[in-house]
Amino acid sequence: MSNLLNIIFNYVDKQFTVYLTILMLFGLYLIGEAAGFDSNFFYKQCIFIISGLFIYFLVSLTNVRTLYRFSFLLYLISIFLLMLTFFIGTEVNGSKRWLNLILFKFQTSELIKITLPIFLIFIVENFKKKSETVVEFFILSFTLIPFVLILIQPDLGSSLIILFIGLIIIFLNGLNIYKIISGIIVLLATIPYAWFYVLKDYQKSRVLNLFDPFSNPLESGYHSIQSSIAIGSGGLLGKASEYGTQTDLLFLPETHTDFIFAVLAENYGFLGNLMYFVIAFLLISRLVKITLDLHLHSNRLLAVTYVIIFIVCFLINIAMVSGLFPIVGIPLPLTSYGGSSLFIYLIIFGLINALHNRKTLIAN
Amino acid sequence: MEDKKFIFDRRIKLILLVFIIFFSLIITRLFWLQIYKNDFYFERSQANSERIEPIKPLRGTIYDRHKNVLAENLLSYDLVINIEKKSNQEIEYIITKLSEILPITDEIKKKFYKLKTERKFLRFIPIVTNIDAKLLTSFVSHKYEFPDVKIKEEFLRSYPYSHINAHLIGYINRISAHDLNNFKQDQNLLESYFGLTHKGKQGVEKFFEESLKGKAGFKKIRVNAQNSFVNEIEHIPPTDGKDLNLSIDLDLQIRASELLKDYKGAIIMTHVKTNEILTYQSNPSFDPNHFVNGIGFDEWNNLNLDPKKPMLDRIISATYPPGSTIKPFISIAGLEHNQISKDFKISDPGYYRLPNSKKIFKDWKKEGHGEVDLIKAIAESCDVYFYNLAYKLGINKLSHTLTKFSFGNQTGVQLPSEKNGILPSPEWKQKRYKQKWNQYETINTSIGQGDFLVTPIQLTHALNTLLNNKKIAPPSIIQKENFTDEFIEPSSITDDEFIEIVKLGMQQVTGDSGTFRSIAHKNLNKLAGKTGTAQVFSLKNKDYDEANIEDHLKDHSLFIGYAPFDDPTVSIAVVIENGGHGSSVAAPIAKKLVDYYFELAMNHE
Repeated sequence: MSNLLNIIFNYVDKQFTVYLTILMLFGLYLIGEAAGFDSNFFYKQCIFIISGLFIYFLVSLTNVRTLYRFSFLLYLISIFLLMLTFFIGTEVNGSKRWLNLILFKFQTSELIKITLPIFLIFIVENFKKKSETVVEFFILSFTLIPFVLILIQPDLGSSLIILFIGLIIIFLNGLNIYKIISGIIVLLATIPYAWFYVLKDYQKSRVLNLFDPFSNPLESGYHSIQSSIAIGSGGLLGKASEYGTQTDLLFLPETHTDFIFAVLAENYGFLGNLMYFVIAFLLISRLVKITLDLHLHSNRLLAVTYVIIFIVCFLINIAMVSGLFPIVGIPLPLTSYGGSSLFIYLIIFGLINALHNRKTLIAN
Repeated sequence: MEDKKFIFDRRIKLILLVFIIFFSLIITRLFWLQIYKNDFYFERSQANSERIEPIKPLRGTIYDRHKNVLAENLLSYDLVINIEKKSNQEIEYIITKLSEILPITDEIKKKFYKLKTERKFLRFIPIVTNIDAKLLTSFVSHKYEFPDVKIKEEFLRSYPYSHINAHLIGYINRISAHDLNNFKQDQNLLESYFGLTHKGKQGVEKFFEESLKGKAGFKKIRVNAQNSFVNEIEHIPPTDGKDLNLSIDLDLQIRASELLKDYKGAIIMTHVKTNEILTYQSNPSFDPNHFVNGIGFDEWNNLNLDPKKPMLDRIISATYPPGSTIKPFISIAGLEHNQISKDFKISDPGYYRLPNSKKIFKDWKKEGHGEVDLIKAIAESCDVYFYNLAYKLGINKLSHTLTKFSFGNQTGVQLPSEKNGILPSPEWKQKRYKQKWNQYETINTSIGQGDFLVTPIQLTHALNTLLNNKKIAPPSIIQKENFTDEFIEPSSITDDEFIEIVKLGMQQVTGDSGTFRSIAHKNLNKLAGKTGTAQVFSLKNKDYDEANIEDHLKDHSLFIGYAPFDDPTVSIAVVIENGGHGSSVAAPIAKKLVDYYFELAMNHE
């Protein structure tokens, strides 16, 4: 038995796994504070963490070459599920994002976040001899399909992450500077179009609220204001001993999901935040080190893409909760309540372990 | 390939740099929120969850002089709707659903929406006030369907004797948008009304508002985002309003109200020595209870458009020509200025010709009174005697003496909207009409006609001044603790002898030949006084024919009096609008009430 455990632990980076677990338990504790330690959310998150770790270990064992081989198939399955969601998905607050798998609701846009980078790297590797422009065209095309499918769910936050994945891979693959500049110009040119034809009214007001949240305090600005109040009232040390008025008294709704950081900030103050950032920093720096140590360029490209997604979601969530960024439904990685998001990150980290193992194998 | 790896490494560094910048921004933002603006956000988070709920004080109870309750607070139940964070459709839906089990008229709805727009800071707006037990039961059985409708205990101001004390007590009413605007001019005033919903609008309720209303307490409670109670932080109890003991006698009020039932008019009875008011009755009247939670539009209109003017307080806010009731005071002026003495006589042919003029002034008695001295002139109300006196005196001396009896000035009673009346004089006429005084106006003044106007309360006040021969304190509706005389100045206003002469005249009014001789041999309580008949409308060259004249043009019937004449205890003034002769209507009413006073006094002993 201990032998088996040894083998399993050999396949994962121990230091990284420890940081990962600490961050998840930190999140679990905050969910307990926000929703109650005897609430359904707390119990469910416990189960998510245990089963998520199991998946993490399992994925760490996979052979990445096989994944590359089947990457197109994985990509097709992801696209199929996205289309399926469009027809039979569960609708919550006017958007269809979930497939009801009875045990839990599965957010299909999460799956594509894993499969898309693998497939795009596969393209990069296999079209090495083609001109760069052709490769870039393919990458962009295969990115735009899921982007549009998620945009019409509608889920602006996730769709922008998908677009971001494609762009970051092109960028890291050595896109030349002229294309970058013209790309940026095109992007800027589409902003007015997007503003008038793509963004829904509630999304526009969320963007506008960023500049003046108090213009509409009871409706679209409500989250932003209440979240700022929660954070600001926390002060240096927080008010865990008193009433955490914003979160305990439910003025800030849904704190266990996207706004979990506000619970931390209100109850434990600025110092609590710093403590959290220290753990996150240890985790991320370990992740970056593992990633940059990878030998093969393609593997490194894949791992870096995953790490960038993780960091971007991390930063965007905190920026959103503290009122620096419009409210887009992006949870705080490894900390917010929710199975789909947790599994995705654990699978990603499992894959990075697998890539890491492959490097060790080659070295041996 | 090497080239690609070089680009990759450089770009990774670039991305990491962007992340670091982004992260520094976040840290700065958190520092700004949590450290720099901590106080601001902490306060806002408190404001989010703390609610201050006022605790209403009990309004002071109003008693009469024998501790009968005239205004009290009764426990009642209101249905209120919680309108916080609700759209108009949601509210309309609740009301429609309520109207399925309760009778909710358009009038009630209108009142509700008016209150909702006027009182923006209220969370609970009453929809049905003072709900009766039967309806309350039917609501309670449906209560679970109305999570936003609450039953609220309220103390309802109640006036048990309804219209009998209406003009005196007045009423309270919900604080209106207009009141609120007034309060906002004065921070202290605004604060003193914190937590209160009603305000005295008329009568005693208005005049003694400050001491009756009390001061609200409050409790500071913590609520969650659903506005549910979490815990109590602070509790300051309210200070109840002070009770008020009026000098009024409820039994006399009831009797006076019966006596006035068929007339438009006023009765005021006072203590001669203290100037305390015992009876304060104005008819027609209204039910003050209807005003407490807002009177209906139709009812308000009816009250205001009624030609009988039920809302008019005829004791202090209506003015009448005093008619012959002014003659005792004119007599004082004559005696004071040595124009007449007790024995000064004239011969009355039934009319008076103004010297150097063709103008003729008739006496009320066509054939004249013959040989008349002062006593007889007062007793029989001989007009010609006073025409003659007034001519000799002149208007300045006349009005000088009348001013001493407070004619033309408010008496200063503790009630709102008291009128001044008019004491005509050359200065007054110049100011008012920019015209010169005419001598015939002096003649009119001597019999209380012309521009001369008094309020009934001025009549008793002047009479009490005369009977005490002292400048007396203003009429009081508050019961005085010790039964001592209350005089502003200790010195007499005129010679005691003059007072005695006039009193003798007033005693003769109820004597064998006086205008009120009908009670001459049954005057047990020794009532003395003076009748008066005030012309409402001058009939040019036509004789006054009571049978053939429209009601509202008929003369007013007046009487002032006191009893017993050898030791004046109570004084009374009665005005009956369009009642005809003073002796035929007002005087008998006064007699009945005075008799009742002594009957009650005997029972109380």
